[in-house]
Amino acid sequence: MKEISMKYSVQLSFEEIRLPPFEDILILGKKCPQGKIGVYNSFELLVPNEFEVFEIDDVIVEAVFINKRVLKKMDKDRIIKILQEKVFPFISESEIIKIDFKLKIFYDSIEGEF
Amino acid sequence: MEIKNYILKLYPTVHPFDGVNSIEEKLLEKGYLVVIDDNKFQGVLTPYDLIKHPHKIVIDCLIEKEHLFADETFISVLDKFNKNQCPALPVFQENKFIGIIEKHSLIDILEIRINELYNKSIISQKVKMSFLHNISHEIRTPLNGLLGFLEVISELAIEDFKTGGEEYYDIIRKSADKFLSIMNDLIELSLINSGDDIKVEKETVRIENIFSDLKEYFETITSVLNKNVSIHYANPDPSLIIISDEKKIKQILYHLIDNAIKFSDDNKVIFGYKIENQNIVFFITNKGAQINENKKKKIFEVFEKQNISNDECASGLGIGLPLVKKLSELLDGKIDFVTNETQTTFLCTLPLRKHMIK
Repeated sequence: MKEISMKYSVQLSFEEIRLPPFEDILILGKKCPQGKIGVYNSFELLVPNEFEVFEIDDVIVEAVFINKRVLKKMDKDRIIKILQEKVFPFISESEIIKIDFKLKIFYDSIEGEF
Repeated sequence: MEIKNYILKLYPTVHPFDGVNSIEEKLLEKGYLVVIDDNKFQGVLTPYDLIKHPHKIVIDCLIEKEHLFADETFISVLDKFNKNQCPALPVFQENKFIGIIEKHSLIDILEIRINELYNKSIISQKVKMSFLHNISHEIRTPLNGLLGFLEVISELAIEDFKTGGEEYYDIIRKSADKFLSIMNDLIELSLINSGDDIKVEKETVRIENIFSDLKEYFETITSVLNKNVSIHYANPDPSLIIISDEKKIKQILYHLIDNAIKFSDDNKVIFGYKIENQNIVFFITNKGAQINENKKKKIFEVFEKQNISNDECASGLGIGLPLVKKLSELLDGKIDFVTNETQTTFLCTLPLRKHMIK
């Protein structure tokens, strides 16, 4: 009887990731697998003192994690207002959403005297 | 009703960072888990929390529950359970977590208490009906005696009154005394039960006087009632003088002797006293049937009457022994009894402080 030989092939790719797996903003839905205390504690272990967590009074969203670098440039109320208008309507309560929040600040003109 | 006695110190616990998957079965089995971290109370986890916040670790699922306080009443606690829809709630005292109250335990306790009260009210209703029936008889009998003999006297010719009038006067007097005694007992018992302060006199009491008065009274009244009773007192030294409340001691002994006569088989009652361990112990003994086992606990309860040998209820209102108990307690003493197949002895023990003996 002829022997059957087995072969295998693997499709392999890799890329760099950073921990935690986001840099700007993270939104937790009320029924997502990871709760805010679990996420907060894991971030504090990995990147201490880099994020702030804000509880949200919303039907779908439980909490928002915002990088302190972003908060330095824009206050949290303004950020959350933007998120509420532009992002929250698209979130399901079992999701965790990563937000890229690239902020550019423009001055119209800078005048002065020598 | 306060909840203090029903606070559980032992309860199922879980760590706040335990994974929900690993504790699910335990939570469903127990109905709740107390979340504790380094002896610090974090909350009470229920299956409802997991449905509302289906996160991966316990602490993320916790919903804050209302706190109970150690000095709360059953009513306010039940109210909180209804609002929280929770099988168990934490109890705090001075901001410190001290234990858990389980809703089903509370309801079980309430059910038992309600049944007890219901049964008591049924018994109480029966006893009250019986009492009203008895009081009617006990009051009417001496009153009828009074009125009957007064009528007889009023129709007697003067010569007949001179010869037989003294006997009639005796009977009238004793009926009036009996009636007064019943009324006094009722009033005294209700005064004591009402919680009002009853004054205890401190006077010189000659034991011999009390004993001889009671002996004479009972031997006279029983001969009037055609019951040939003999009362004996057996004492080493009846001339003892103590400082106490003579009236109350007399009342106690009166009722005990009265009782002994009712249940005596041979119409003979022996009473006396002994000194024991700084106490004066009055004893009253009669030959007769043993007091039933199931009656022993209730014998000092108001309206409880012992059956005499032919299964009829004894005469009287059923307040003698309860009154004796209350009076003994007023004098800082106690009442007890020893009973067997042949005789029963009631013992009234009163403290005999050094300044009480003269």
